[in-house]
Amino acid sequence: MTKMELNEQAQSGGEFEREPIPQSKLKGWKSFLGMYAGEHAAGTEFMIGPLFLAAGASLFDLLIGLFIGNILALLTWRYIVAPIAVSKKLTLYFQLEKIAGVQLVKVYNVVNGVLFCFLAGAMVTVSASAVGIPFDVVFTVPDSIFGLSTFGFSVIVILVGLVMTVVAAAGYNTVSWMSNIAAPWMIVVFAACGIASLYQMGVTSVDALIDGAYWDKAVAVVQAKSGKIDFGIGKIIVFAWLCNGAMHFGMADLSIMRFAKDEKAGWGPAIGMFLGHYMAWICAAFLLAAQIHLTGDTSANPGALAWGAIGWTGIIVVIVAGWTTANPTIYRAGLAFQSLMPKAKKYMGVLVAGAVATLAGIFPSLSGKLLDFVGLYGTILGPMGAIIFVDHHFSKSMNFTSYFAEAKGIAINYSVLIAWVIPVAIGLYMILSLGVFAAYMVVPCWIASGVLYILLMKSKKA
Amino acid sequence: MAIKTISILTIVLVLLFPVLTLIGLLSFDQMKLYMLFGSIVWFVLAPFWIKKD
Repeated sequence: MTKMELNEQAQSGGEFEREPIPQSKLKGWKSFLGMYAGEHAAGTEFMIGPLFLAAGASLFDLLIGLFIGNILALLTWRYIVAPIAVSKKLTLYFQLEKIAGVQLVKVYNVVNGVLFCFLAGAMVTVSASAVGIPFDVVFTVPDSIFGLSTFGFSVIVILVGLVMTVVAAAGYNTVSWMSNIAAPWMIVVFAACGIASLYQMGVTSVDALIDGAYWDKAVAVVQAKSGKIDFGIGKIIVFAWLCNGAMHFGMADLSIMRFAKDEKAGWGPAIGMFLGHYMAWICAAFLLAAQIHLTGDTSANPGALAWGAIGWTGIIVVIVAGWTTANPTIYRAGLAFQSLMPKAKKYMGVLVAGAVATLAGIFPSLSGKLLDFVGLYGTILGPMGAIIFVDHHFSKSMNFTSYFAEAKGIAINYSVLIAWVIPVAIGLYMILSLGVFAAYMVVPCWIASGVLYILLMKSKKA
Repeated sequence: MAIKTISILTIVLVLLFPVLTLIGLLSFDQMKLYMLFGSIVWFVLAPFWIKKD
């Protein structure tokens, strides 16, 4: 069973959704290496990698920063998520329901669903960028966030979004199977993109590769056009650490790691992280460097970048990568919306999610904000993980009721609501009004939520 | 078993073609053509051994 399938099962009310995983179903830590391997080499990588170069990051900072950030992410999975997953063997949703109450979980689900829609929308844009290449449809990114690209591109986005939505509504198994088939090939093609880009830049020796002059020239071109932006090693480390903040700090991966025999499963994301969030990001960034070297064009259009480096295989990989990321995301968002309308047909939630994702995909500037978006995602959803963390580790020693909503039979635990909303509101203000880099707010909001929840529970002697 | 071996070999070749181009043993256009061919072979063969759960 894949990570994608386990996630889907957890959210849709599948087997063991409301009970601990039995001993006979537990998996060794090596199973998690494979489960995560394909998950982190996806459509988002085609967008994120070039954005580092477009933001002016130096190659040295990128190589070291991503390494450190990925190690920190791995440690977070190992020491924050795995112990709780192995001890409780319950999904995020069921644990939240016990602590926060069933109604608050619905709110969390819908917020999660909306954020999923924007992520899926970026992936619709990615796939459409490749579909447009054979038809000579130009993909321009307007300055305004809600500005449209060309008419032809908007039409392609709608068609791609429609197909993705219909496939997602039709069922999940085929999508998951297709992702399994594509995953090893995508990882290989990411590496091939990087090697082909090096050839295009004339980097044919190890010395030239290490020297990094090709990268510095590309950054100089970007900065001459867009001005100097500060994207140093600190930002890279924090981004690489927290771009999956909702999964580790936010505890979404409890749904996966609850199947673990022991805490060593926390090392499971290692291979996936270093293939996807290291090799794939760097190779995708090389695509943009090669394009700048050849044409001086600094626009990060995934379809055009991959087409320029490896031809038709590039078109296929961008479409497949966007599709295999967008489809399960639309499906999961659909499940979240479905919880609000339990009497509607099963596919209605998916159709709504697909429509929202397609609408988001029409605005290409949104996908260009992916670095900020994933930070925002962790800032908003991460704090719920802090509530689970303090409930698990501190309820006994700090003498407050664990699984409070379940113990009291309430639908909303207002202590959770307050502990979630206040830090997130302050975090969003810092990001949206003061321009703080979104990923910087994930950990402060997480800590603030945990502390606030303890204080609220202690203050009402709950 | 043979199908699995061939498809794994194909995916290795998809990675090898750009390496051969980088060291000057294959032209850029040939690389793109062979990569496309290898990718098609992968998608034709892989479904025979990567089964639906």
